[in-house]
Amino acid sequence: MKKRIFELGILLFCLVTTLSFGQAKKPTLMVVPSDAWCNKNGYMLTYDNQGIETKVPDYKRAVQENTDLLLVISTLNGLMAEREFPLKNLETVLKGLANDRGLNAVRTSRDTGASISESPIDQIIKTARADIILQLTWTINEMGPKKSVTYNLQGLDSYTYKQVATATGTGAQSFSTELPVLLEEAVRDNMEDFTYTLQEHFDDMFENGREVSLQILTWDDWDGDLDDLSFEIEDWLDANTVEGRFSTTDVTESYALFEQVRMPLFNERGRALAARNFFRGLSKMLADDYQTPNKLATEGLGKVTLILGGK
Amino acid sequence: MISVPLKKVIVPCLALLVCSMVSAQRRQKLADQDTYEWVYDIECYGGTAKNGYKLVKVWSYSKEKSVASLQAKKNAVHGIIFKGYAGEGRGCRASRPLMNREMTEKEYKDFFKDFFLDDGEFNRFVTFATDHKGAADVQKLVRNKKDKKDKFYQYKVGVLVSVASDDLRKFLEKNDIINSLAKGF
Repeated sequence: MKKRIFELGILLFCLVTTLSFGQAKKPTLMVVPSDAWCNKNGYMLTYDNQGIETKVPDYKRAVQENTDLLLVISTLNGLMAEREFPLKNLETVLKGLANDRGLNAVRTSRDTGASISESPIDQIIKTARADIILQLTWTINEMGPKKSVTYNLQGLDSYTYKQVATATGTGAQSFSTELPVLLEEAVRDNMEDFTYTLQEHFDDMFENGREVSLQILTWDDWDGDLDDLSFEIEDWLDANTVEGRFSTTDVTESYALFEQVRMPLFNERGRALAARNFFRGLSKMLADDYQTPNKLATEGLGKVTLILGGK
Repeated sequence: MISVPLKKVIVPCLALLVCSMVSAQRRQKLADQDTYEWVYDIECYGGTAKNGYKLVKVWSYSKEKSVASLQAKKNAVHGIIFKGYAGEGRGCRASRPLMNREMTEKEYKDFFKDFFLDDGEFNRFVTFATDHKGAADVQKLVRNKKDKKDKFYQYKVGVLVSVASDDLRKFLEKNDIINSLAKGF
């Protein structure tokens, strides 16, 4: 009888543990043509940046004019959706942002007539973004009448700047096959490699925690010394990261950068965490224990900036 | 009432029938054991017209040609799940195995027992790409017995098989045999 009760207890514990841990925060993915592809195909905007001519990719024109690009993005989106991982669509995101900008410009409060408040930082943040950017490049190789496509798809983490997945290859040469068919073939042929490496990245994340980065800045009227405080911050990171994994990249009296910070995916109550939830503990500790009020600014799932000296 | 001479004919015939059935079953069992122990070779045989399918040539081994060629379907599915293949020639690309996690011996055994039954679910994902009897490559091999004193003959039979790899992957994901990309999110 005692044994049965013990077994039942274990079963109940397992059930509660399973139920209490939900799903981890799902990263967003979006396919974006690489700068090299945009440059080669003439989809660049040039502007004068304080006397230096600067080029930036013109995604809007690329998706409006290049049907091959649309075909590749659409094939990739379809294949990823099939794997229960639908991607953000670059063209739709760009249209949505333009639409929001237009709407926000004309919105006014019925009571006071006030318009929508938008800081310069808000304007910078509101660009086409995703947690993992699938950077796409292809080139057409011609050797006499034969054609082939060299295809390169890179999964780039927006916060750690690491390449987390990849698929590259050159397809078979063909005399007569049309370019869109070659491109579609290249996408399908390389998809297995790409999802395999992406899966490896996710497996690593579930095993060792999400890799995030923490940047610490200071307001210019703050009179503390970040150099001293950095040791307390390191202690907190050591105690709260998965197996104490993090790297202190830079520390000065007014700036610090911690990279490769492995944060757990769930808190002790089983709630899924993003970087902002995780670093809230550090923010509170600095404010309460070290009388250092601070502002926590976040970028997506994996990057947090703490600014010391006030909100 | 069966006459005595007729009895003399029927009884040995029945005995022969039972013996041959037992022998066929044993050969099938041995072929299954070979699949279980990964004793087969799989190679890519070029791209297929259909997306989501893989055309492979599977080399199976048996003392009987028909067993080896029929076992090709099981071996092809097993190969796509557990082995993968290197890609070279005929516009082939390497293929990774679908299995993307460590399987315990018990899990492997249980999975194998049900999925790879002769009329098991694996049949849904595989077809012979050609007439397997006519188009099979057959090689007769001379093998040494375990004691190395005697020799025996074995057939190595290569059969072209088409595997619905995308559907197979989805089936395995649905049944929690392999991890899907979105698992955990």
